[in-house]
Amino acid sequence: MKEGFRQSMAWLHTWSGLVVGWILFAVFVTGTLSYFRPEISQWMRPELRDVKADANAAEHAIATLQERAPSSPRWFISLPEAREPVVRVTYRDPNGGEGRRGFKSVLLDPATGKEVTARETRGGDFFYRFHFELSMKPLWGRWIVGFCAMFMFVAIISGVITHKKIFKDFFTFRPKKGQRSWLDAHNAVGVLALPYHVMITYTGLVTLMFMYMPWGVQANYGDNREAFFDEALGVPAEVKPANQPGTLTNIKPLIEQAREHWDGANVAFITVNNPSDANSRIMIRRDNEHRLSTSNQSAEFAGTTGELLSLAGEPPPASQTRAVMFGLHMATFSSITLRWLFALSGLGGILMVASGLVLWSVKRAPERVKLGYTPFGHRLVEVLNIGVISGLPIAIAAFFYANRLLPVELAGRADWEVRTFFAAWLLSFVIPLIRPARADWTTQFVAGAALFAALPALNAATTQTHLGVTLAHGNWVYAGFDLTMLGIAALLALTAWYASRTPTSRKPAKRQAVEVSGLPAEAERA
Amino acid sequence: MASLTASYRLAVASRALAAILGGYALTALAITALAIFLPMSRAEASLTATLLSFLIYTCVVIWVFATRSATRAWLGIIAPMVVLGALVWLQRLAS
Amino acid sequence: MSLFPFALTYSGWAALCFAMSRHAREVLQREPTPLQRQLLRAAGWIALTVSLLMAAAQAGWPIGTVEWFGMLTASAVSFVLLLTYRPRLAAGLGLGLPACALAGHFLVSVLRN
Repeated sequence: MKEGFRQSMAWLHTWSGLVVGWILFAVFVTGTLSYFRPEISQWMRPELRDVKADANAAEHAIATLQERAPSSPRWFISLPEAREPVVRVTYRDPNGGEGRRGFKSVLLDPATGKEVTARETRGGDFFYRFHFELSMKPLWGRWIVGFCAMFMFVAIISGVITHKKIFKDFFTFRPKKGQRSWLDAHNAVGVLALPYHVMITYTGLVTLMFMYMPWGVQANYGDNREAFFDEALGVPAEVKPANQPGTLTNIKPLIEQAREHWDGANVAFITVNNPSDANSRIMIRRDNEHRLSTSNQSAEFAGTTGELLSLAGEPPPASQTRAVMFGLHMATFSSITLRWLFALSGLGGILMVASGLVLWSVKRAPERVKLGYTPFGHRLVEVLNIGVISGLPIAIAAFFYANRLLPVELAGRADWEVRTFFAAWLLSFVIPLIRPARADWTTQFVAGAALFAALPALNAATTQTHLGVTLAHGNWVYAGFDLTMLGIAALLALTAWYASRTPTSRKPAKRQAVEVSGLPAEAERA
Repeated sequence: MASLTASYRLAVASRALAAILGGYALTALAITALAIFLPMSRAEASLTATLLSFLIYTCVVIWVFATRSATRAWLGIIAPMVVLGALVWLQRLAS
Repeated sequence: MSLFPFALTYSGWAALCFAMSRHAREVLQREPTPLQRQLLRAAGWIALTVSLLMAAAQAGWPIGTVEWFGMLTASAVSFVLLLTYRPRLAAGLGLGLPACALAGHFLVSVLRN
């Protein structure tokens, strides 16, 4: 660090990247999976195969809620969409539900309003929550992920400064050249998807910014955070009930009216406050399809008369900026093609983090040759690399296997799926730990590939949502999932093949060392 | 990597501390000042300051590791904090 | 999102790449003249700009811009991979891809009518 600016940036890039690399890898993988959260949730509930979206879903849901929970202070209704065509209602259970403050969530069939039962699972929500909470206590997990994301941002910026030939080397990838190739690959996936990396990291920090950086709000509002959220984000004030009975008006004309204001955009969410009271309120919220911003666009109606009380318009600049950043991070606006482009860039991020971690090890091969043994630090990094990078795919596959194989009636079934995930992941650390042989990379990637490749077959053996049925009926949510699993298997197999051929994965050969020492200076430093 | 002498390690640890904790403290003060002094509605000012916070933090961290010595790094953290703190304090006195 | 702006970003990258003498020597086996290099570079930037305008025209500026960045990454990755393992194909597609996309558009519009 006594050297010049670029060298100190290279140092910062190497070490800030290594410290948080393993967590970032897991965050990138589960975050990329979260682009397909509804699809994963749908696949993990094969019982919902024949559920279809319905134009009268809101009416049916309200009828069901009036029957089940007339006294609940609030109803939340999330309407079906093409990717997850089921209605989810949340209400306070008169018999005391198990959820937070007695609230309970139920899935309804959009066409009938009847409850549909599906196996207990966390579905795609597991990956979604994991990518910012790591299955820890929310506060801990969020701080750790935030810390890593901040390191990531610093690593990206310092990486760009370090990589001085960023435009000259833009199109350069030289395979089969040991460390040179790893560096090229790391640079390529980093630079080619650079706008994505910068965007996803910064917007990720922004999604939880009021937790990480409460000081801007504190300066103007003190501890009265509610006042801030009210002013800045337009969270509506709560309405007191009149304590006189009232009947809700028909929801359908209200939805039509709201959609007219939004150029025919679909309704995603309905909140009903004090549903059985004279002072009831219906809040209708539009979905964010074809709309970058996630600012709260909603219409509020008086529940009994259907009178339009307020219509939230576009928010002021800073608020809109935040809403756009949210939208960019969640990709709720995106068409299916764009979603895949996002996922591809996410894969770029995964590869960038993974190649960076491997590069740290590869770069130190000559040091190991010189010493004649492997220092503890190198061994630790290696075991963590193998366990995290090749183990996570195995864990994800195990999670899907548990979903299909655990008995449907098992108590706490959703938790057992999660336990299977962690057990499988833990196992992938044990093997490289007890076996010093370097063939573990290949072995574990082959295992991951085999698990993913067999998943559609297992699906066919255990459910009626297999490719034979779903392809024939054009049910692309289920079919797409199975096909994607085959795609992942192919990718992992390719990686395994590559790992088996790379000399560094066996032993730090002499030839390698010579090649490394012959590198130009800028490769040494990066 | 150069030989890892004790003083080198100490300097790195000192810089890391300056970057992570000092950087956070400086950022917190900077966005407090921004939220107070930006000529916008107070909600917008708070939001703008918070949105910029991670950018500020990053610049501080990079500067801490780029500057010549750990002592300079600490000075560079503490001096602006004193100025910003005084500004915020004066504004509080005035209102 | 249609194929043509994507094809254009690919051609744009290809043109920018072969405007660099190192890559041009590797694939085209000859050194481009300074004029050729300038023309290629100009063509590359024009292709990238036009693809942005087209994406924005189709999906509106906010989402169009996001789509454009996605396309830039996807086409750059495909181009670099092809350049490494199938360099002649990579160069050929620089002209071939937009042509295919145009032909596809034409075919679809003919079939529709």
